[in-house]
Amino acid sequence: MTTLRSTWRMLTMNKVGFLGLLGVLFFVLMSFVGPYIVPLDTQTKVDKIYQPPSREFWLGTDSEGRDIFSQIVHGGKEVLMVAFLAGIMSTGIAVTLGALSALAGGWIDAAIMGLADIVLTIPHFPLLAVLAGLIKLENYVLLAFILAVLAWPSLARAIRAQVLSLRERDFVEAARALDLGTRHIILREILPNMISYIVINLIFAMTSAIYAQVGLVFLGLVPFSGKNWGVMLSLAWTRGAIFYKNSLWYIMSPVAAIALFQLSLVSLTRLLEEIFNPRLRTTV
Amino acid sequence: MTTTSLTRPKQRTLVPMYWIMRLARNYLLRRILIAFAKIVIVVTITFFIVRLMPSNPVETYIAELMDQYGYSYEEARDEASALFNLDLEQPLWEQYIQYMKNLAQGDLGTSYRSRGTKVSDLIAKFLPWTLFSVGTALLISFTLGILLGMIMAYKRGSILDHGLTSIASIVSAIPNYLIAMMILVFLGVQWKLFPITKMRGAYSPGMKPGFTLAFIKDIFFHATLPIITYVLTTVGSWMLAMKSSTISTLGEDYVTVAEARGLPERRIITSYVGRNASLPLITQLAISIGFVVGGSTLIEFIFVYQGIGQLLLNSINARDYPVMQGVFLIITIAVILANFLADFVYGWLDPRIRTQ
Amino acid sequence: MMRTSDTNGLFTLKVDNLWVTYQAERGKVQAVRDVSFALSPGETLAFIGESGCGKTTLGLSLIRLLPATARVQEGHILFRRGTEIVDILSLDDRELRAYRWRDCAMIFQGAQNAFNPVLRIWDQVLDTARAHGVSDRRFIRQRITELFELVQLEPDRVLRAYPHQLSGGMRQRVLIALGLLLHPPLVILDEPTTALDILTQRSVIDVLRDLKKRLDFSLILISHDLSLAAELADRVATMYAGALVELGSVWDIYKRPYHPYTAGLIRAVPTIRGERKELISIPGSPPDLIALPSGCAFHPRCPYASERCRKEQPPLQVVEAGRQVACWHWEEVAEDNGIRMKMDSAQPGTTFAIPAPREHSLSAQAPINGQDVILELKRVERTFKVGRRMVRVLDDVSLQVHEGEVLCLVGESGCGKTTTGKIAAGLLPPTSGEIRFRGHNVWNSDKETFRTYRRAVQIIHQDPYASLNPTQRVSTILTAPLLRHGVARNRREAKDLAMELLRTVDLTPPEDFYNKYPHQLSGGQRQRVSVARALTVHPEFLVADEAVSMLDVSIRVSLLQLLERLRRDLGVAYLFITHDLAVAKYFAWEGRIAVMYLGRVVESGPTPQIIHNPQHPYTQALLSALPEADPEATRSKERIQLRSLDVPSLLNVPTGCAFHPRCPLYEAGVCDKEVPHLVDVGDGVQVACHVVARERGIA
Repeated sequence: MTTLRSTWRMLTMNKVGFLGLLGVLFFVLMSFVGPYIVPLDTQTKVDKIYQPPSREFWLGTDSEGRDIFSQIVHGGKEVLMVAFLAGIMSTGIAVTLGALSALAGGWIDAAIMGLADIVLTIPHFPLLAVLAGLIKLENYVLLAFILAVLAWPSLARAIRAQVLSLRERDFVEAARALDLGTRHIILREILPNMISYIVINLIFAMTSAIYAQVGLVFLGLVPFSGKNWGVMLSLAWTRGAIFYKNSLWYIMSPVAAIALFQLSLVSLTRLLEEIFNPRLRTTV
Repeated sequence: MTTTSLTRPKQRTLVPMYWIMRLARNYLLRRILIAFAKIVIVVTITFFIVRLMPSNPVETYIAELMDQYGYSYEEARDEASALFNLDLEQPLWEQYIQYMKNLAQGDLGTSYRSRGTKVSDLIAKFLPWTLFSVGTALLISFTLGILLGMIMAYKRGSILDHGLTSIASIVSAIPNYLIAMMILVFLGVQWKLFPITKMRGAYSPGMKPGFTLAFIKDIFFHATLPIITYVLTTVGSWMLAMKSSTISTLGEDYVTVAEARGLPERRIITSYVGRNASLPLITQLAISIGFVVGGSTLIEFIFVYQGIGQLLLNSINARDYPVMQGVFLIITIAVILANFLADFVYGWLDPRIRTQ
Repeated sequence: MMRTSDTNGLFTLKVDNLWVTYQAERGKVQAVRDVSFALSPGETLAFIGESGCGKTTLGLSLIRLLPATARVQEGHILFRRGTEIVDILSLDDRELRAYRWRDCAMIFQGAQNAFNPVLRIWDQVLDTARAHGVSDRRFIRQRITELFELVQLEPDRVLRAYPHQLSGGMRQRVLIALGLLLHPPLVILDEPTTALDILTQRSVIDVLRDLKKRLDFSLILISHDLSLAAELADRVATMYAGALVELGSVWDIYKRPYHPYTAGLIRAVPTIRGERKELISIPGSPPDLIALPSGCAFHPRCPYASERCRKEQPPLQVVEAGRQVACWHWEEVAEDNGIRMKMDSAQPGTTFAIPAPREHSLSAQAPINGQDVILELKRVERTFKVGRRMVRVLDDVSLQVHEGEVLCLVGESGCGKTTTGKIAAGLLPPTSGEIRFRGHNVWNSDKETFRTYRRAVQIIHQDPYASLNPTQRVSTILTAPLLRHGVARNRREAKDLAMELLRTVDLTPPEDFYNKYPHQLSGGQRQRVSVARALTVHPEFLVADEAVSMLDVSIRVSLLQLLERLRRDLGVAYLFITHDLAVAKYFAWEGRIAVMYLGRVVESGPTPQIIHNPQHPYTQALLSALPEADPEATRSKERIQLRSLDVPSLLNVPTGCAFHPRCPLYEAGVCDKEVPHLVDVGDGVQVACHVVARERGIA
């Protein structure tokens, strides 16, 4: 009971972080549970084009008279999945390669860091634009993978630097003297000291995956045809939804959804910083 | 005599080795060689990736002719194949070798789509506008970020600090193209604060490029919205970085000692706190100059601004390989040069590095 | 600004009833409590006390540099400028800037970062002068040149230099010179020699004494180092928990402390002179400044404490001419000379013999060389890559440690003692040479032998804040090795053993510590956890790398006593690494000392011989440089003058004998040509010095 209460207290003490958590939870629920509750409106209604928000259409209607709210609900899943997958993959690659680089040293280190250097030198967004051309229809795992392949180097460098410095710490030396084994040293001594950094970077990796992904879809470089905030943005743009007062809802709804989700993610990092820092955790 | 003739061939093999070793030890030269190697690798990678993309210049052109001009497929195909008397049938590796050979002579090739136009001319036409708009924005946002960041650090904990920190984190969390879109929609279309249709392009049609006041005013007019967007989306991270750098500098002993020495407040803020706190950010600035060139695609698309991003987007859509490659090369060189610049600037500003 | 005419007699500075608090998350920290004192012109007053006693806060409030969270609650700080008296606390910003440095200069702890790294020293001198209206460059140049010569710096070179181009000792001297630039009548020195090596520290002390003689200024010295205060101060003030508890002349206080805390502090410092004396460790730890104990703040740690001490706070009262003390029982303390402090501190702890790990085979079998040498380093050399250069950190180091013996490794920073420790513990392979554990060449042996050796040799690090993983609880730290090596068969057993270990290292009751994170423990408690962790694997040999140097004096002694108890009860042998010869003497009186200089052992032998009859000029210089916690002894001590204050860098080790550029016995053509080797000079002492060897008739 006391731990529950103190967890709750910690959550609510950090207001920004708490709001971020609520925001992320909201978007996850909306995108993954929402589609089962709100059916996607696919019916063209010529008499209801560009309606302002009403009780029937919470966010108004689009250029064909379809409900925008249902599109927002259905358009999040793909964006979130790509962000999540790309974040996990790029962080995974970064942590593995960074740690390997630091621990193995020698030519492995040189090779990994050389590769990181080259990936960092290649201009990312243009390259993504080209690589996106390789994607066959609606394969978001591949899209996430391509995003991840370009996103790992800076985190890998940071992880390498951290492992190199942690490895020289006195407590790691003590663990070596105690013959606790390589596994213990990596998993129990070094990793826990980097976990907050890794998780926070995972969140940031997710935000940049959203940035790149939506940008690509918006430019029409990724052949996504289904419902997706980026596709909505792209359609609204090409149909000139920016020009009329009532059509604004069509373009601003996905803009707001993406911006709010990004903000929630960034705010969430504040909470994570606190959760993973034992210094802060136990003084509460 | 016999001894010299015996040692000579030995020396001959040693001398190049000696020079290679010496060159390898020369820091600057090594950096240049590595940079050169990086360019070659990036060019190679992009050469193949670009050509691996589905579709090709002929197909996209055929599709365009059919779409836009109502050609039948046959007509379009004839027209296209007449236009593109291309060496696309050559094996890929031969094309590669040819490209590299030309590149070594400084020849970036000619565009497929706008026939006869040299890629270097296209770049020369589009690049300055990106450099101008993003460069100006970067300077503005850096200066603003440094100043606001220092103010936030000095007034930390105040309402001003909390307000600026929240704004900074919000604007830096939202993707820049969304902000561009909101600017366009609200400031341009809805509230009509900017005549957006007139602001398209890098300068007004009929305007004669040159160092005239009218032209300079005109290019700033056309670059206004991209500049506002870049400033808004980057100033937040400069502010936050400067704030934390200033806070840690304020905790340094030499600042306390400077206060104990009774130095005037202004001297402490500028030469003791400001100069040291901005050191790491200046390196960051130099590095971000490199990414300036590559990061502008979406913004230029939204504001219809004639920069390198537009050029890239057009060439991707047309599968205009030489132009795509040229743009990649320019961006890569920019990144590498910026890294050089960063090292140089840091060494120049920080005596701890300069004197070692 | 308050100005009154001087009616209170002559003083430079007078502090009346000063209260300073900090606002912390948990509540108000009472950093300075009701402090009053006066400083006469030309006088040196030293504030002594352990960390957190409020002495630095007091110093900062004298120049009004308190952090934003601090607040002066009450009191006056009066400064006499000519005939007028100024209340520092009521100055406005402009007046305050004029007061700083011109009237009162403060020389901070850690001069390493006292200078702006991007400005040359000359620019910073100029800044200082200009801020106070002196702008004649030639005059400034002349003045700073004079001062630099007084502090033994080359003016031209140093003025042109950037801060990072100067060594720590040089920076400290530059700051002292800069402090005197404007002839301030008052100088505050906050831990001026902490973090400096012994010989550098000596040069700074000498410079200060010399300046004090030549120039007329009052000095406030803030230091935890009782020896420094003994050497420099005219009067001494002891602070405890933010309050002054004793004030008097340096001679009286060191000879006969009236406050039990002062008595404890003085008796806790080991000395070089005479026989080894048992030291006092003050029980308990300094109080929480947010929730102070009732009555006298010292009563929970005081063996003299009575009911009255628990209820009533003793005032600082004049008990003799020029002597003030805040203790209800000062007469008893004066009478028995604080002896009761000692009786209470010497609690015989329980030593728990932990069962040996399962695969502990090596120590059971007979040593293969038939001797009782447990660890031996043979002609060890170690190089490191620094940039593109190979730097030799250790050169031809040979050491032997017998079972249950203490070998002290002494030397200044950069001499290679830490590297030697790591090599001895098997954490770093030597570049060449052998490490033999019970006769086995460990780097050239099978895996089992190496692992057994690795476990039998454990290390205690210097920094208590870095030696424990911040993400692990004490429970994990202790049970992980117990479980891994099968000392405990299950978690329950591991917990029982861990509890026993906590008890062994005097962390009682163990339940209070078992579930704590390192950041919830004090420095001394963390070091005890480190010791307990080392004990989990039943070590026979401990490398203690400056294990007590970051601890306060009172805590230091009790940790040394714990280590000594382990040696006595468990037969643990030590490689005890320290920069402090007095600590070495105290801990290794029955053992041996090896003195290192720039990667080589220059002298080794039984502790009493090394301490009282050093042979190598470097050892002699070190011993003569040490200040002692006894004003008479330390001021009458004969000092050896070195030929150069500059410490050579490892990147550029002098030819021949590495000490020759500084050595008073230097002979050209001999010392700079050949590296001297260790030779026996009798009494078990070995010395590496050409001159000493020749005088003894050894080739």
